[in-house]
Amino acid sequence: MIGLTHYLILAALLFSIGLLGAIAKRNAISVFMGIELMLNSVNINFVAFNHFLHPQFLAGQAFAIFVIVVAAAEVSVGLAIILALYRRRANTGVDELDLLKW
Amino acid sequence: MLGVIFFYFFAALAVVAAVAMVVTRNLVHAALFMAGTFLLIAFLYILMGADYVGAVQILVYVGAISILFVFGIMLTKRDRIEDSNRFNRYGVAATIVAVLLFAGIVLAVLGAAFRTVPSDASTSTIQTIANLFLNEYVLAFEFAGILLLAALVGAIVIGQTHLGKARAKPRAPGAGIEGGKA
Repeated sequence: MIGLTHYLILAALLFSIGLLGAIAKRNAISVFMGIELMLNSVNINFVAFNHFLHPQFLAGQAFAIFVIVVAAAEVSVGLAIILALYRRRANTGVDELDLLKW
Repeated sequence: MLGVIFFYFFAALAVVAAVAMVVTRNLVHAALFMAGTFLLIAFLYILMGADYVGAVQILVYVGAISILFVFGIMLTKRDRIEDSNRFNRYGVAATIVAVLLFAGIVLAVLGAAFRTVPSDASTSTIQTIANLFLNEYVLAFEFAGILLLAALVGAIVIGQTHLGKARAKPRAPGAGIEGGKA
């Protein structure tokens, strides 16, 4: 029988893969993809806890929808920032974007 | 048990697609693998009885965010698309960190004692979620709307072309096709 532990371990695995993509990639868009994967794995945790611990009260699912809303806003603004950076620097590599680094 | 087979099938495919998203060297392939991962996660939501969250996941992530990523990739030119998604110099260290994090979470999960209660995942969740949104979480609901509006305006303002004076290079007349960013 598939229990809560299965879903939590799956979410942990996806979170680790997303973390790897977020900190080990050279392209800013690829870093964004890793962050999206991490947000998704957190959503799996929300829905799984909701389903297995409190199936009557759907607060976890409502919270997952709020996370999706925030992720959508984050992606639209983030991609706009990447496009504006590309227009100025003709580059989307995160290693080259060190304007704020002293 | 059909649910067990479905869980392992979707979970294995999601993990494979996520790993392929990270290790592939083609950025467009990475975006498509990301869309596949999101779709499989939506199936897992539906498997857990969260049909509304699964539908929202398909609508927002697979339908909108993945397409937005593809637009972002297409609007930023690079030398060779086959070699556009390289690891940086922290690849090995990041892998070690990710594996350690996964091991830590697995140890914590296996050591925890959750009191799970049996549930009937047969009823639709839409009515309950709608009641939550419009009664208990109505303030958060309205703030989410304001956040989306602010993000929309912010994306338009940041993405417009005539922001500031400095540019990478002066654009030749008739070449400014990529000006209108979604």
